[in-house]
Amino acid sequence: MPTVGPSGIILSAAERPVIELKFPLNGDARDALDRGADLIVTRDPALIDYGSGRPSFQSFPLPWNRTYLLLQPAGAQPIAIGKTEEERRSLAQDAVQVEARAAEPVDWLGSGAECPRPAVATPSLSPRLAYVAGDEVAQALAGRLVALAGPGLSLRAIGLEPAAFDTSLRQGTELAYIHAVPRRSLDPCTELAGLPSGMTMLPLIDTRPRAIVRKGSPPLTVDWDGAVRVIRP
Amino acid sequence: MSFRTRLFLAILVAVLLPLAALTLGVRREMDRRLTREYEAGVTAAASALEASLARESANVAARLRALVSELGGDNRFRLAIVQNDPASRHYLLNYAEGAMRLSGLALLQLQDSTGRILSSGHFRNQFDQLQPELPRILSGLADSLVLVRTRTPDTTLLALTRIDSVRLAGRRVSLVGGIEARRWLQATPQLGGDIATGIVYPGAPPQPAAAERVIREVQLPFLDLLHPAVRIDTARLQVTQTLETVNALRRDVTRWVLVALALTLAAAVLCAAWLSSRISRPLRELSEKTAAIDLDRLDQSFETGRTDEFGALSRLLGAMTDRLRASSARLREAERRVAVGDLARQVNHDIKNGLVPIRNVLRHLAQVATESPDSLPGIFAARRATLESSVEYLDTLARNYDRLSPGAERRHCEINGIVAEVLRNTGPQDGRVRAQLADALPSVLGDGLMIRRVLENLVGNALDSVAARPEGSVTVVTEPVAGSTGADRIRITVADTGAGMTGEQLERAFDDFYTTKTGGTGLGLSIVRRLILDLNGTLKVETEPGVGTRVMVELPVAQQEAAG
Repeated sequence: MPTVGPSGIILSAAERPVIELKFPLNGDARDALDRGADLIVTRDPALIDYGSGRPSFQSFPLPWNRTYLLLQPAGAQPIAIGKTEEERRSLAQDAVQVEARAAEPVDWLGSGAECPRPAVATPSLSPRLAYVAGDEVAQALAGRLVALAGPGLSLRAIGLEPAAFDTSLRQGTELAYIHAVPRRSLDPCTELAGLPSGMTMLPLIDTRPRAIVRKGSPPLTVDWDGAVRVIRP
Repeated sequence: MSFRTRLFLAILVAVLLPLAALTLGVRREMDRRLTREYEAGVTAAASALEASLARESANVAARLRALVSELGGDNRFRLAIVQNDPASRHYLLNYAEGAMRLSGLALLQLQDSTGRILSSGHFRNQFDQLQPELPRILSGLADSLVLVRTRTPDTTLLALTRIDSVRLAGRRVSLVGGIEARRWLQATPQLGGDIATGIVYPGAPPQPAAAERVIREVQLPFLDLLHPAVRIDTARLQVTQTLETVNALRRDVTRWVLVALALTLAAAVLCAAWLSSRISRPLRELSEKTAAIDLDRLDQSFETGRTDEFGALSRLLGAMTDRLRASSARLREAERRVAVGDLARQVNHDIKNGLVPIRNVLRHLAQVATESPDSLPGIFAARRATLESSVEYLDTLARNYDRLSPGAERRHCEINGIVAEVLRNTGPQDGRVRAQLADALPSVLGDGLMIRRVLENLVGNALDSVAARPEGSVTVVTEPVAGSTGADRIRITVADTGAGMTGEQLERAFDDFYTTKTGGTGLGLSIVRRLILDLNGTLKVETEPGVGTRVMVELPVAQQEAAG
């Protein structure tokens, strides 16, 4: 049974390894490494770089588990960027600062034809490219697309709070959206429920996190969806 | 239009015209002075703006120089230019963002010699875009700030920029850096709350139509990177003055001026009405008195204490009335002489009328005495009433004619002595008659009998008036007064606390044969008025029903009369 203490949560069993989740983790994650954390899963390049520089840690990449899509309501003026492999590779290498690659097809995106999805009533004329505020990868992709679109399109990026982003996405009030989805899903209809039908969806890049592991820690394994699990020694 | 109306309008115009001129003058002077003060303030603000612009230009140049110096020793940056491996490229792409943040700039862009953006601080992912015009144009204006309109991922940026450059590994790298123009403008100290600054450039959104006017402008080069055809243009930093305060001040002044005008108008109306009334009232009174004068009514008093023109006019009219009164007396004397004949004939006729019955009775008695002496006593007794009636008629006739007798004789008369004799003849009145006689009164020139008849009539009327009032009293006062022409006069006042008279009664009191008393002849006051006119005197009556009557007779003293 998990034990909840003032400094975190301890998951323990008589014959299994102990996982202690220490808080707070919302500050400088490097402090967690310095304070004895055994495992950190992150996409932060600065933290990865810091962990790589510590001889007591080693890092290894986890599976590509997130894909960033360019969504556009039907009838909106198309943003003709990211259609080629070369453009997507450039986005992955230069526009974002996390570990990324040109997007590869997401299997479940095409398998949801029978899923119930909201329809966009009217296409938007707003020349804005929306993303979820706080998602630095989406923000960087939006910035790059704005730069490549040039001043003629008057495109500009805008960060929306998650709830506002979901509402706007369902209603299709913006010219385009940068939206992150998991690469694998057990229930595609759940993932597609927030994406209106009739929207064009262009995968741009895939990203993956890295695991920073203290040397000598219990062995780990990675599950099918990219989750890190501790295995019995 | 009456004199009073003309006077009223003249006063109004005299007050309002200067006030209107004052109002216009105050507003004009206020405008002039405010404009001058604002111009001085705006000139100072424009100077401060230019000085601030020069300081910021030097600051931006210094920051770019510092960055150039740092870049010269940054091997990692040099490697990123020389070799294009992914790790170095990320350092290059992120370089401007960090450098811009550290240097406090709002715009930093590194470009190679072709104009390709190597790294951008304000728009990180604008790398590899070509903007050859920016370094080219800025290089031509190296000593001054250039206003550049460019963009970030989510908005447009208006920056005051300069350019510097560094040569690394044989390649020239341009650094374009700048500060945010509007933030700088907001941080620039302003002079006065009514002075504002703004930026105007081609393609700028229209300014709100605020009540303001542009006073000064500072021009600087402008480059619009969002325009398809990038070219150098001119932007203006405007120093403007809002007119709200001036307009509010004007409105306040106008409002108070209107209030002052309204108050002044009201005061002027009141003053004009009061002044015109005050000025015209003496004229109206003189006019009324003059209108009341005729040969039978020359006893109007023009006495006044005024020393102005109205007083002089009043005294002039008084003197004229005095002369008319004297002329009237002489005319009356002449008429009286003519009338004596008529009167004699009337007396003759009246006496004959009275004597006829007596003569007839006497003839009848003589006849009876001759023819039947025994019946004489009976006949006499029967005709005696006729005799007595005729004798009474003649007696009454004699008394009335005696009252009308003109027999004027002028000599020095002592008023106090006459008053005392009249009061003695009134008999015992149980203290109801009082006398207040001034000492050492000068004598008047006239007929003592006439004066006595005047006083007997006035005192008799007064006693009749108080007869029905147990508490009623009669007071006779003598006193010296100054006349309208300055001559000394003697005033005799007979006052009673009797029934008084109404206005109508007073109007008719001096008419012949008008009386309110049972058995009165109606000749008393008529005779009094004529006698006083004959004595060259004046008569004034003050009366109030239920309160009493005060009759004032003024007679000229003997010396004045003799001198006149």
